[in-house]
Amino acid sequence: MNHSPLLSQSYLFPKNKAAKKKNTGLIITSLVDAFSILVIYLLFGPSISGEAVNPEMNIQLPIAYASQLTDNETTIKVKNKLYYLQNEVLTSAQLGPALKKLALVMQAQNKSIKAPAINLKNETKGVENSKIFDKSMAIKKSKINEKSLVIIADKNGGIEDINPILIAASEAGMTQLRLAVEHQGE
Amino acid sequence: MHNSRGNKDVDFEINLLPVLSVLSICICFLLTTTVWNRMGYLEINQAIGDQLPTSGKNPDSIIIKLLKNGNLDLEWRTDENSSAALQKTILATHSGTFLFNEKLKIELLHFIKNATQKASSLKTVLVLPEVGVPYGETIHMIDELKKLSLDIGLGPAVEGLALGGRS
Repeated sequence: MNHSPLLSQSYLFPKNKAAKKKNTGLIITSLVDAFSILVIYLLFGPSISGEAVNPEMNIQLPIAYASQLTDNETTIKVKNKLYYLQNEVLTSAQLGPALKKLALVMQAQNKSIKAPAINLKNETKGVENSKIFDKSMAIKKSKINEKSLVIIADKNGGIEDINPILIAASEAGMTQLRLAVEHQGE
Repeated sequence: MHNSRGNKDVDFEINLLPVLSVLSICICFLLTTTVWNRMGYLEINQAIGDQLPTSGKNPDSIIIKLLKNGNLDLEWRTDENSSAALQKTILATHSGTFLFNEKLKIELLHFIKNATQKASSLKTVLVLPEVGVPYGETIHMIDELKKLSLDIGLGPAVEGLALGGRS
């Protein structure tokens, strides 16, 4: 008499003798797969979703809800009256020339980012309704994320800590700046 | 008979338990060492020192002075030369240091709402802190202003801002 394969697999009441003798081990292949995926996510996930502050600097960022996530931006850290422009340590006196150099690099990068929007205008010469065209252009331009300097400072410090950066950035022609926060939004 | 024995020798399984152990240790290590806080940013403009050649007449703006004694000086200016259209000083609930608490927040948002109702074009807020105001509290206030979709300008911290205000 043939038994169903499902009943023969039962641990408690196997329906044939062969199944009783069969040593069914725990299938851990799927568990290994799940663990592997978890390891890959933990290795690459946080670096993809947003830049983390170097914990060695021991900087506590202020919390903000109306913030946007950073995306490989140029950062300047403030700690103990010293300024860390990427990996270079600067004093307040050295900030001016360094930011002027950086401003030139950023201007060149922003020009290269803006280029597709200019081409788009040339491609759509035949558009008659200029109002619709202007609106779509405004949306396209707003989506372009221009490179800007991100200031990382400790929330427990004074606002005067970032004074030299504001003054040097102003002299370098940087009109827009970004203040780093701990992102709490969606 | 000989054939079935031969099949048994070929049919083998890789022991996956050591792999599972290694992966478990990896997960534990990564969970404890991963930095979960994600860095974001609040975009601000320079409140003063614009060197762009296109800079012309300043737009209507609300000037917020953050004083180290905890007070908040507010001014709504429609023109650089004229006197303020609306002016208010929000007194701190406690002295010592600036703390952007619920009372300051409600009164500040009420002032901005009043001003924007009178002038719909009003979109600019200039934040001028005094030396000694905590950075974290300044960011807290800017965050609240950003929720109103206002353009924020931040000026460098200066000494003796209270002398020029009405506090």
